Formats: sequence, C-alpha cells, structure tokens
Amino acid sequence: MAQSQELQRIRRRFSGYLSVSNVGENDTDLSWYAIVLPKVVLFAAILLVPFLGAFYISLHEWAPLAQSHPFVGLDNYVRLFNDPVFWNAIINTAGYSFALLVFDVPIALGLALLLNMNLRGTKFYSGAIFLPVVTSWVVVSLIWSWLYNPEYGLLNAALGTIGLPQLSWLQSSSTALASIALMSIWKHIGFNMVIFLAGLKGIPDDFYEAAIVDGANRWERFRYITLPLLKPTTFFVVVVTLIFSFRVYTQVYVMTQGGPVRSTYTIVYYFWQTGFQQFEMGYASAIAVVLFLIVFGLSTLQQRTWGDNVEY
Amino acid sequence: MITLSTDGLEFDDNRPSVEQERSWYDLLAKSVAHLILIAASAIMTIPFIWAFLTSLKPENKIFTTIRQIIPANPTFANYINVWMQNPLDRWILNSLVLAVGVVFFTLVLDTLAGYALAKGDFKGKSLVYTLVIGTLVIPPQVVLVPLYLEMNALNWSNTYWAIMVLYIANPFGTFMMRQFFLGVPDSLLEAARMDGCSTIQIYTRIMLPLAKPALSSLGVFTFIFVWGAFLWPLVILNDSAMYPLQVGIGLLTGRYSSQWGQLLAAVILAALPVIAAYLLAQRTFMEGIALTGGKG
Repeated sequence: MAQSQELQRIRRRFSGYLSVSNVGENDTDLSWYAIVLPKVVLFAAILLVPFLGAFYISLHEWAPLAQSHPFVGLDNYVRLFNDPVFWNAIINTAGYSFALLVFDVPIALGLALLLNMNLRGTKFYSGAIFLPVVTSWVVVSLIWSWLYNPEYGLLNAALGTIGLPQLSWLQSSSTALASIALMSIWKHIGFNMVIFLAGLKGIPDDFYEAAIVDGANRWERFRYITLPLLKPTTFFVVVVTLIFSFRVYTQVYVMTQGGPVRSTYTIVYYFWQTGFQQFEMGYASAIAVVLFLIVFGLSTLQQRTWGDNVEY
Repeated sequence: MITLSTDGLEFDDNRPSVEQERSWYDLLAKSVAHLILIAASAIMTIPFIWAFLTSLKPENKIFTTIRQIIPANPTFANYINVWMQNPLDRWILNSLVLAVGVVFFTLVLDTLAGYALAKGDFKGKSLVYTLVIGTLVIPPQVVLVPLYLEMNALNWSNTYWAIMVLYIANPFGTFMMRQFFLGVPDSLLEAARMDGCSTIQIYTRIMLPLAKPALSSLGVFTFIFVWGAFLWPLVILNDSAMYPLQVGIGLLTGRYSSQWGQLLAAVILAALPVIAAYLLAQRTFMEGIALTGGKG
C-alpha cells in the first residue's frame, strides 16, 4: 500500500514534469495567443480601424446617406482653420480646462493634505467629498441647473441673503461657461483628491519621523518632504485633468445646449453637432482629428510619468 | 516615479498619527482643518439633499415654498408621475444590462489579456503592448464617426452590442491588470507548471484568485463609468426604448423645463443605485479611482 502511494506520488510529479516538456514551446505559445486574441480583435475593430478611418473620412465630403463621398483633400481642415465657431469652441474649451487646472488641482491637494492628518471623522469627510464623483454628469448637471435657477435656485437665494447681487448664471453669455466650470470643479475635486491621497499615503512615515527627530517643523516637513515626493503625482493629476477636461461635453449638452450665443460651445459639442446633427461627417472627423492632436500632445507629456513608470 | 498606494485609504480614526506635538498651535491647526472639512462636506452634499427635498414637494408647491427647504407634506407623487409618463423601468433595465455586460466582458477579457502581457512568452507580445498603450491616448470621441458608420454597416444600431463594444474595447483594464500581474512572483507560476498546470489552469487557479481586490476595483469603477455614459449611446441610438437611463433623463430637460419636481425625481432615481452602492462600499469605490485614475 505504502509503496503504491509513493509510486503514485512519483508518477504524479513525473507527469507534471512531462507535461511541461511535452507541451513544449509551440503549444504554450498557442494558448497565449488564444487568451490575448479577443482583446486584440476588439482593439483593432473598435479603436484602431475607426481611428485610421477618422483620418480617411476627414479628407472627404462625407454625408452618411450619400451615394459617393468625394475626396476633398485638406479642404475640411482649411475650412476648420477659418471657422470662427471652431476657434470659439477651442477658446471655450481651453478656458474651461484652465479653470479646472487652476482651482481643482490646488483645492484637491489641500483637501488631501487635511485628510492625511488622520483627524477624527476623516472617513466621513472623504466620503462626503467623494460623493459627486460616483454620480453621473447628467445627474449633477440637472441638479446644478436647479441650483443655478435665477429665480428659485439656492445659489441666488444664498447671494441674496448675504446681500450680494444675484447672477443669471447659465442664462447669460458672460457667466454660462464659468458656471459650467464651477460645477465641474465641484464634481471633479474628489477624484483628484483621492489620487493625491493615494500619493500621500505612499510616502513612508519614516521620512517624517526622521525629520521630527531632526527638529523640522510642520512647514519644513511639508516643504522638504511632502512637496518634492508628491511632484510626480501632481504632474500626473495636472495632465490627466487637462486631458479629460478637453473632452467636456455632457454638462454642456444638458445645461446649456451650447448657448447662450454659443458661449458654451466646446470642441466635442461642436463635433457632435456637425457630425450627428448636420451629418457633415467629413468636417466632424476633421474636428475629431484636431482634438486627437491636442490630447496626444498632452499625453506625450504624460508618458513621462505614466506608461511604465506607474507602480500599482 | 509615481507610487499610488491604496493600502492606507481605509481610515482608522484612532490611529496614532506621526505628529507627536501637542502644542496650542497643533490644536489650532486641527480645529481649522475640521472647519474646512466640514464646510467642504456640506458643499458637496447639500445639492443632493436639496434636490431630494424638492422632489418630495407637490409640483404646484415647488415655487411657492422655495424658501421652506423641508417640505411640509412630503409626497412621492413626482416619482409616480415621472415613472408613469416615461419608460423609466425600461431605461433602468437598459442601463443595468449595459453596465453588467460591460463589467463582465471587461473583467474576463482584461484579466486574460493582462495575464498574457505580464507573464506570457509569445511572438508579438511587445506589439500587442504597444497597441494597448497607443489606444490609451486616443480620445474616444475621435472614433465615434467611423464607429457609427461601422455599426450601421453591421446593422447593429439600436442594439446593446453597439453601445457595449466601445466600452469593452477600452484598453485601461488591460493595462491595469498587466501592471497588477507583473507583481505576481514568477516562482509561483513555475511551481504550478511543475505540478502540471496549463496556462489556462494557472489563470483560473492562481492569477484570478490573487487578483480579487484589483477585480473588484476595476469592476466597480467600470460600472460607474458605463452607468454614466452619455455621448456614444446618444449618437448610436435612435429608438428611445433603447436609451440608458442617463440619456433618457438627459433628454427630458426640454420637455420638463417647468416641471422641476418630476425632473428632480427622475434625477434622484438615476443617482440612487450608485449612491447606495457607494455608501455600502466606500473603500472599493475610492480604490477603484486611485487604481484606475486615468480612465475617468
């Protein structure tokens, strides 16, 4: 009995060994291909081919139901370059992104630093600040349309209570874009805060303990430990915030439909309108290609910190 | 080099901090910090609370009782009316099918591809990895026109598949799972091979069980992402019965410009499932963002 058990054990080990040598390089290769293939096919069919298609379509006059799609070379790009509505959309998008960068990133960092003090109730605070991140853009856009209501909204009521002049928020071309940016900052801060917080948690406590032993005060510890060690995270947050703010669309669609007087037209909103309202798909693709070039430029900045360098 | 550590995201209120100072200055700093955090928490939650309270007011009382924040006679009439007048149940079902479907396919395909890219040994691996990194930088809007034409050519418009493919193709999960699997020691895989495990068996018996935390983060985050999707469903659908909830209520605005009670009731209904899930699993949500920070 004991002998046969021993034999079985050896045979099992041996067969395991055999399976490695028997399977051989080629068979193993095939199973790797089998598991990576579905995703590769999807990349190709849904992202890569359409991506190249966008360049191709942008060189044509392309109405979806037309019999033919005449080649027009760079005409769509020339038209884009001379299109004041497009330049207006670029300026609006850049302004929106700039507002997010200037307000969202520093406030998110500040909140992350406060949460990192391990105060009592930190879990509650972080939970509340993060709440808008999990709700959708449509939901927060509708809630804020109500907050911004000039007659009945909470914001004007608050301004009135402390004796400040009331604003027309989304109804005036001078304040509409800023109002959308303000809401977006509110919605997005928790997102950046959590990334900052993860960065702060990644700084080993030993660094601070050593600094305390050396007699460094709170400010010195922040200046000489936190800030330099947080630099890559900050860079990451800045670039990702820029990349995503250049895609602003849903809030504009729900809150203002690009108005009043096109003051909230953004690149993606204009893209959607030309492509899927007016069905000028060649022109819309030219807009998409320009958006890609902008985001690609920002992404090359990002490559330095993202890509292979992120440790999870 | 960025180190994103999510180990510490679970806060322990009683954890002794590294601060050993107990001066008046320290006390002042902590009080100010509390004040700022309380104010920030209020700013973040009040819009939701106010929208919810308004949705409980009868439609004809909303504008007359605007300064009375808590409704005198709370009613669910707005919820009933908005549900009767719109196919909300169908929209919710659509959203659920889409979100669950995308999460399922994302988890399966991205863990497989991530495993192959981290531990595989096959020709063309670096080409596939270049494809992943390359498609990460393509803004999804760039492919919408050709993808729209492609879906029409396949006769797929107005199907769940047409909406789902764009999100399932997202390369971020592959990238994230590859990063995660890189951290699994090779010796573990070699030992399994010695015991006769095939590539697929190593995946099901070792890699998947190890990846549970990463899977739940990726799953939760993909769910929020798809639940909030707007532009692509709006573009590819022309049958309102196929709308996901977000598109459905997003398009209500024009029609309901004066019926704020019903509109806000629909908004609360759209927000509730995610908020409820979030309150139950706050940590997983935050880790999802911290880990998948680039997807947004």
